[in-house]
Amino acid sequence: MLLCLIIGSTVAAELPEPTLPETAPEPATTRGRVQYMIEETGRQQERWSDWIVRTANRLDRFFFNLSAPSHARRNATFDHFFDDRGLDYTEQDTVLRLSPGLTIKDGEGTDPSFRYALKLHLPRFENQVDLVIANFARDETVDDAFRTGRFNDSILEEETDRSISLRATVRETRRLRLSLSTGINFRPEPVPVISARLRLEERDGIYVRRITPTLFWDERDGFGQNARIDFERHPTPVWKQRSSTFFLWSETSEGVEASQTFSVFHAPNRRRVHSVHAGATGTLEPSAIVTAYIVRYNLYRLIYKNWVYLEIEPGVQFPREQDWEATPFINIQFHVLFGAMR
Amino acid sequence: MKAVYPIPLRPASHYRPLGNLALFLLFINLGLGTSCRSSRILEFEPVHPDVLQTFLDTSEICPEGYSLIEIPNFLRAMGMQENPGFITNTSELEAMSRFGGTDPFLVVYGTGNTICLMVNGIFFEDHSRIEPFLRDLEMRRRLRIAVYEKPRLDGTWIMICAINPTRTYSEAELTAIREGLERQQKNLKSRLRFNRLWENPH
Repeated sequence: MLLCLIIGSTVAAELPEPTLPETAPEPATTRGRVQYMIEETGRQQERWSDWIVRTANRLDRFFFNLSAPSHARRNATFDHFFDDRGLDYTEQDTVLRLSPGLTIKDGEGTDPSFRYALKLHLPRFENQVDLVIANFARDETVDDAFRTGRFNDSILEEETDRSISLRATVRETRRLRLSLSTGINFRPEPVPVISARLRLEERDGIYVRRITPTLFWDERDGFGQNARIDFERHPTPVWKQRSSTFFLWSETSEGVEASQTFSVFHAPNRRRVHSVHAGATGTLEPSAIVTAYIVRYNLYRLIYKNWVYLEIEPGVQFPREQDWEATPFINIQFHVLFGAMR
Repeated sequence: MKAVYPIPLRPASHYRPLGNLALFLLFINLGLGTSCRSSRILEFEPVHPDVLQTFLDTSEICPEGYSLIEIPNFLRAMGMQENPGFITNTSELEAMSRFGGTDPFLVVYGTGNTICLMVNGIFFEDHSRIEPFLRDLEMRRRLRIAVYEKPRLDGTWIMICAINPTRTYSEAELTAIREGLERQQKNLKSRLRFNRLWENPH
């Protein structure tokens, strides 16, 4: 509650005011008007991005000052005039992502959605802590590789209206990364959640082996653990092939669940990534049963400057519960970014 | 000559919550931190104790309409006994020492309780450490600063003159600040390294 109040008061402070155009009055021609609107949108995006970064700085300073001795606390006025020069300005990594989207699924009609996720980077905490506020939560019971762009058939994720979490990287080396996450999911009642994720990676020429075990606890659903094992091959800088195996056990899962996905990625440049995924999911215990197959294509493309992306994902599922009948779907989603874009 | 710090300058991480302690400290302090907000000014022995008086007597930088102002909370937060004064806030001392700077001082000008112009001086014994510091400053595009360099036999003073990057200054104020900076540059025989005071505020 206290955290929410602090964030609320900080976020509300110095909201950017809507600005009048700095340039000439609105042009009369349609083409000129469109151009004007695009430029104005760009200006507003810059203003809001700047505000988001400044808000993140304020929160970071606030949290730092709570845990620092009085003679080491940062002063907001001094930092406003001179910056905190002890911080590397390039380390800013705060981003707000707005994702309006649409899913069309055979037999289920059209499902519009709107997601947001605000990641506030807190560099004064050794550059290891992020505060994440979103209207959805990462669902540890779903395989990332099997997850589609917008839906993952997870009841948990649909139930979560909002979430707030602190994510900290406890240890990171070239081969190892240990991160902790703690927070609250609102479903709508607040449910505390904690997870610890370890990532071990080994590179050998064009091959990469990676194992990512996770332990998680959710006050309502109890303990669980999952593990993902990836084998990757990078034949050229723009092509990547991956095999992902995922195992899950939790107090609410039906025995041990597993999925297997094969993926091919093509990233000709930083503006565009194509990928094709084919996989199966099911349970291993008490008996080995495949519950669904899926094939999907994903296009993730930068469409405007460095802050608007389009994701298109057509695919088809074959669920056992529908007698393996092909269930096509398509996800279309925009991702609009504000904050510190790299 | 090395700077004498009664406050031992420890690694940056000393005053920062370390990795796996971060969350713990954060939550503990959410509850307790606000009740421990007493602040104290630490002992500090600058290598160049005369620099403040020299700056005040010689530079004549104070823009017309402004004066040296005393804002107790601000001075206390920066660990300053008075205005102008040496900064003893350990976070700022650490930040400067990482760049090779010592003896940071601050001069605060304004009207009433409004800070309009600040001058932050930092001494660099090793001249080669200045350029990385200036490059870092130049990359901080948000700031409205003019940076001057004043070489001495035992090192170099860098003086950063900063105005509020989000405040709108009147033409009269801007003229007064410009004239003040010109007087300072002439009187102290300092060299302008770069000036971004007059760029549009964000």
